[in-house]
Amino acid sequence: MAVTSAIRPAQTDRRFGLTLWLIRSVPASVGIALIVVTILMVLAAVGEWLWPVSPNAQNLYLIAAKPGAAHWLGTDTLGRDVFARVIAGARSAVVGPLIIAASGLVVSSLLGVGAAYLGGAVDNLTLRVVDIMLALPGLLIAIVIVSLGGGGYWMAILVLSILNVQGDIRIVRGAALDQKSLPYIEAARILGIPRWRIMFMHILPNISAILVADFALDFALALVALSGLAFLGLGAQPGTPEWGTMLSDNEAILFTNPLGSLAPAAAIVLLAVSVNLIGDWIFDRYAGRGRFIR
Amino acid sequence: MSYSGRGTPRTILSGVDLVVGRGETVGIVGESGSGKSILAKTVMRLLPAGVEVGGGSIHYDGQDLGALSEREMRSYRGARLTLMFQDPFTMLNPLLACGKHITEGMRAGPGHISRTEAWRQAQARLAELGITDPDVAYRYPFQLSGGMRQRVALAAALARDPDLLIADEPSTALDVTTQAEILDLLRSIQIKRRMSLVLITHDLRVAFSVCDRIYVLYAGAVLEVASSAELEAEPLHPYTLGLLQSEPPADRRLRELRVIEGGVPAPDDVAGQCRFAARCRWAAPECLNGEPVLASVGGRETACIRLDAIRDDLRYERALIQQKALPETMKLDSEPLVSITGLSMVFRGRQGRPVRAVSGVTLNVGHGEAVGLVGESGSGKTTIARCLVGLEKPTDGVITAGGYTVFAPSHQTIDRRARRVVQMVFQDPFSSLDPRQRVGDALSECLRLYGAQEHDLKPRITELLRSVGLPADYTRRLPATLSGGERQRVAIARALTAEPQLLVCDEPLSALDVSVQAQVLTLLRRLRTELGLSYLFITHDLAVVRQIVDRIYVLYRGEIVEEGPVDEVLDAPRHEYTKRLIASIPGSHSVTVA
Repeated sequence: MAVTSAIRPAQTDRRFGLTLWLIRSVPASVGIALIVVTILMVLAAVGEWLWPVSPNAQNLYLIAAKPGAAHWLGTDTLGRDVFARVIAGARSAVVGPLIIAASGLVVSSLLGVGAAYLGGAVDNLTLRVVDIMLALPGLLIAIVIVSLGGGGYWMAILVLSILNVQGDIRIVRGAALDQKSLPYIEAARILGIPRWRIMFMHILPNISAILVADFALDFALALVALSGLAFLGLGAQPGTPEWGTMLSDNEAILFTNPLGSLAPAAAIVLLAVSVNLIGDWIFDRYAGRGRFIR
Repeated sequence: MSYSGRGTPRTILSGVDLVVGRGETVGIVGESGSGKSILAKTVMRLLPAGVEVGGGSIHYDGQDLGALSEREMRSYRGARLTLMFQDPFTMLNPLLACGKHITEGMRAGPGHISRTEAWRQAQARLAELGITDPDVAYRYPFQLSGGMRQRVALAAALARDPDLLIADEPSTALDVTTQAEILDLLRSIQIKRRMSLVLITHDLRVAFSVCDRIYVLYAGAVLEVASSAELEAEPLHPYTLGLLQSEPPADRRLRELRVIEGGVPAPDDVAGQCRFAARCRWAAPECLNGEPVLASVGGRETACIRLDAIRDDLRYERALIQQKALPETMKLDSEPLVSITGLSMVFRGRQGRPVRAVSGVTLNVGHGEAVGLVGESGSGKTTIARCLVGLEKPTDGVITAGGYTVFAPSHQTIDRRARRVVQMVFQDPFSSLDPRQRVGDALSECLRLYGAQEHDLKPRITELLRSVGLPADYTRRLPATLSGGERQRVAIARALTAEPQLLVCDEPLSALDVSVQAQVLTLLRRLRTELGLSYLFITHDLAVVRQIVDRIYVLYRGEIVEEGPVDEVLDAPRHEYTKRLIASIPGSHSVTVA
């Protein structure tokens, strides 16, 4: 009797050939997503140097022009180059969601892990606040507050940052609670390791996969929400290149130069989907590492 | 019935030939990684995806099972041969009533059986297995104890009266007394039905008590085949001898435990040579020359090619197991190191009803003394340990350690200085280490906490690792890259960073392989003499407790029913429960099935 297995046990030592390993183990879709996100990040950082056409230069003789050699994606209602505006819009598309997702990450790490580990009154208070926030229709509230506050990109970021944390806290608290009952945390308690160390040096690293996945999800949702607010005219100052604003501004010329609104729409979808794909992949790949391989 | 085959690269099993006669009970004994569970699944053709039979055939009653279609195979499974798994907590469907598990198999067979008739039969089957309450058939698995569930699973496996039952570690997940009941039950059912039984186990004592013939499996190959009696009396392979030596006897203490160093290798790493050579005391160059085949020696078989040369040595070593040493008799100081007085623990149970986990337990551990706390799961022994290290607050009682208060009605929080007196080693080494923390970081974190200077860290870590028998370069390793025994060593080293006087060991061996158990047990014995440690050793395993402690407490339903020097209590138990515990050790043959 001979029995063989086609499955090789997972390699445990990855100190060498990290890049090689990355290339081999990343699926194609995630690879494309990584490339898309990298390109957009670069554009957000140094877009104006890479594409010297000004996004604000108007050519009133060439309004709503179809795509051509001079203007790859045509021009908009004020004769501005759509391609240049899509590139310039990358910055606001990346910075806002980054801030919102990062604030969610920091707040949920502190409050989620804290509530789970400390329990008692801390947990109760956190959970009640989270419950109340979950009961609120987030985007509607955001629309009301931002419009009351007079709109603006940074106002929108602030409001969305606050309205975004409740879900994160819930998720992180649940994950931390799972870890809390494991013997390695009890061992740390018996050894007298301080509570803050247990929370942030032991529990937090073991739920990092969930944090990363959560971050990616937040980023995508924030991008869509910010674009939505911009579409409603609650985004950046008029004239600032922003994908959501372009969508509504160029609606009027949808039949003369459809790319005026389709291009920013595609950009939003592409970025949101890419970030989500990466987040999912990281979660699938690493969530198991916090558990125990027998 | 016979199974035979050849080996291929990246192998799980190779060249395993196994014959099970009608009405025979065959044991397959091996440590984890030996391939014994895969062997069972191969016979049933229930291999997980990616695992394939590389060669060989399985014949059942003259029929080649490998040649059957999946559809035909299904008619064999359950009806002719059946498999029963280890874990009674996951192998029953939680949404099905117990009777349904049994009737489902019955009604799947040919010939129509009415629903009522099937249920009546299911209750009769349960009665056959000692469950006389007909109501049990209507209960759900979560309402039953582990032993009851195992009986239900057995009844379900036997629903269609198979000729061959393969039981994969059927008693491992159970309490000792329940374990003995299930094994006796298996044996009596097998005799009554004249059924063939294949018992897969890691525990030689279990195999000896149930099986007619035993196959010793190691790294995917059979190393020895013999009848139970012959194998126990005279092992003809160094590995079998090592296993025998690794399993401490329950009736006496050994002066020295012989251990097999290292762990079970991957089959491919030892292909084309004697699989055990790297861990064998008698290995010679010719052992690495080609794979030994089973050779017949007086009606039994062994894969050791040096048998003629070492047979006398094996006999001598086997005789050593009969040695006996006396436990140390401690001159106890007037002041115990750790004292627990009147400890009670009441949990709030279902519907707020109080559940007494521990009531009025008084227990002392002297300086340098090793004390055992034995009892079954649910007896409250882990609760006592958790209270002692400050993980839980008892309802009542006083606990002091090294003169510091761990708990008293007036002192609800643990005195931090007590942490330096009492440390703990957990049962499951797979989850008691932070999976993201390297060994060195885990140790230096604790050392810093206890005031070690930065320049002192490296030598102290090296010294700690050395004292638990690990090389110094293990500081860079993550827990996932360590074996179970190595992790338990790291956990012990970590507990030692506090320079404690007492180690609470909560079932520190039960998650480990037999040969590794002996290694860790030896380590704990050595640390006791080297560091003058005291132990509170919590276990259900009387054989293990005999090897390491001087005095034991027997815990039953939260109360201490007997205490005294380990030899007196285990040799002449006074309490009814202690007698029952001792009788349930495999091989003692004195338990009768209810």
